[in-house]
Amino acid sequence: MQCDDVTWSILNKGQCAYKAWTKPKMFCKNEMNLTGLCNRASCPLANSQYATVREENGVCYLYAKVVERSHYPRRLWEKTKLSKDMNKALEQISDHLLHWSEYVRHKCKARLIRIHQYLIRMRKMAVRGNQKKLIPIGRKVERREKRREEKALVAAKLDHAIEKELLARLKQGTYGDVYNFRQEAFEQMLENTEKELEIEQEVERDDPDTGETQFVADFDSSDDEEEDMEDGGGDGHWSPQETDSENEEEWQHEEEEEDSDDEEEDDDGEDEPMEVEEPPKKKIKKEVKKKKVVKKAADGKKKKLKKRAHVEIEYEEEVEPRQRVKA
Amino acid sequence: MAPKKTKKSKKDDSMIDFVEEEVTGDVDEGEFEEAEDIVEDSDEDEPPKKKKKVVKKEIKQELELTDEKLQELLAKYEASKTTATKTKDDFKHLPKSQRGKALKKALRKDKRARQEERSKIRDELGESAPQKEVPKTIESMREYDPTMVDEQDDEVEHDEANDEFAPYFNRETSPKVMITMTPKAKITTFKFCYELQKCIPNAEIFTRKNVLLKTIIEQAKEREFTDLLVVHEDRKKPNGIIFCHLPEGPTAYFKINSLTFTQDLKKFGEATSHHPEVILNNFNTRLGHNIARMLACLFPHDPKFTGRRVVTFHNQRDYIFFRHHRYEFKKEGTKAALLELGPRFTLRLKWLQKGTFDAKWGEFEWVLKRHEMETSRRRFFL
Repeated sequence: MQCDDVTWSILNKGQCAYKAWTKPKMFCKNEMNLTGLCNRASCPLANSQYATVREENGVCYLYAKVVERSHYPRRLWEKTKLSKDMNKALEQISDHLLHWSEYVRHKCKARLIRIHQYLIRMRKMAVRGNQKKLIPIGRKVERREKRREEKALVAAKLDHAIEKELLARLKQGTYGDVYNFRQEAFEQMLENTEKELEIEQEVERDDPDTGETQFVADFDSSDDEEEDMEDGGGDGHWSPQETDSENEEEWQHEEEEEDSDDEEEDDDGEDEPMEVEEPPKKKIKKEVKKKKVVKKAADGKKKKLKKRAHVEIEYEEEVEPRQRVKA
Repeated sequence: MAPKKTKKSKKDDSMIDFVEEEVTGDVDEGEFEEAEDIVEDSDEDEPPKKKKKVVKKEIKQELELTDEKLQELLAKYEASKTTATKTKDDFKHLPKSQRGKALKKALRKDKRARQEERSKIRDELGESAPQKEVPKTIESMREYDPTMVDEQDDEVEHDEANDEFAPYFNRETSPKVMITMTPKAKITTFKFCYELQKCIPNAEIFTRKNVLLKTIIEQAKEREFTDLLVVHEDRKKPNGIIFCHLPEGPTAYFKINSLTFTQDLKKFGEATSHHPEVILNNFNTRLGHNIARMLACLFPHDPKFTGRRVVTFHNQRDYIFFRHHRYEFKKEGTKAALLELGPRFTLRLKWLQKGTFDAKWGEFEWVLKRHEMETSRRRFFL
């Protein structure tokens, strides 16, 4: 009782398990479908005379069914193995489906060609071996990793860590002569300033005495001649007095500072060959740098002043406990 | 303010010394002299000794008081560590759904208050205050890893002198890096490659053009590249890097997380062409050392310090943070100011393979296996 029109009207308007509802067109999920579309001509259920091409493990078969076998479900489909050569296979199809509708014959050939194309591509990919492996991404795992990363970032304190490392390198002397503020030099400078400070304090104490003696040497010649002579001599010539020698030291320090300035200028000179392309700008730069150097020196002096204040406080600190204990 | 505090502490010191003497019973002069240097210096005749004794008695009285006080303060200090003043019974007036939240909030506040109280007690105690406890962080409580590398380990040194990166560290080779990507890469991946090229001097970008990785490796070897970076992408965004050291070095796969391009940074500078310095922080285990050496191999030997560029690979809890900065020393070399230059991203090591890339037959040195290895939050491998 095969009646294709009735079947189609039921399937089309009513329920069909193979219908796949997609946006542009309706598709058919039946594996025997010739085109994959859901329409009257290519429905494998609503056509009693039907043929299709299928691929099983790289081999193509032609499946055909006719109305005469429709009541034998076990032998419904006539399965013919197609040749591996595509031209021969096409001939086979046209032989088998000689008096069939043009639509089915054409679509079977088209399907065969398509299958051969994808088989060729599969073989190629297998030979080349660049198959991609898809790995699922665990959503929860991803989320957890993300969160842990955020926490690690906070714990890292990146800027601080980088700064620390850089300063450590600077202290180690990795940068060599690139920077002038080497730590050793800086510390030396600090020590020098401290020395100067102590000296100056002593100088302040000595100052009034020396002033008096000077007056005596010039105008009075009555009471303590010997002392006067000594003092006068001290003033006139080089003497081994503390004050003068300390002055010398100060001079030396200034000289050192000047030397260091010279060195900086020398450094500038070394830079010159690097910037040969622009000679006029260079001089200006040099002048600017000199000014900077002067400013630096000034800053250094200011710092020295500050340091002096600090050291005075320490001095007080040392004194106080002694007083307390004595009392 | 500072000198005053120190005075206080000195007082406390002397007091403590005296307390000890009391316990022993007889007061040795020697100890006494140690405590007070200046008295010792003054004289050793008889009359001053009498004076000393008088002084001692006076101070003793003071000390007993302070001793009690000290104990009291210490007890208070210990108590403030443990006792919480709020309990869940305090919130019975609230509906049940809000009690938990309120209690948590109150406890947090209470904790803060007790912290302040403790800091006050610390100030009072001065130098005799108990030591602050070291905060328990994930880093400090890290599970012990037997492959942790010490500073002087002959075995490790020997290994490192003979591994695949030795030629670089012996200055026999200079780095030359090839950067490529997945076939048919999208624009963000290209952008990322250009950013990488900006950071890594002597790097060249090649489009993949559907060439196999193995053939690329062969070609790169012929052209004497020392490293190969392959950027992988997923949903049009770079999500991984295969990092292959050539000619025979190991291959590592890193996942890229939280990538920020230079343009998207809030404040960024223009990178210069000077060779950058490299900072590799926190790579402590044997594996970490290997990875660090691998990363170091990307960059030329002699950084140009005048460029003040620095590239950082900071490892924290197995996440490798990449940053690219220009720095400047300020305040006579006591501070370093940083200006960010390049991209930011985070790398996470997924596997490390011996030899060059071979997905099928390669020998994996280390693979991150979640169920076997991520058994604890405090277990790290780098």
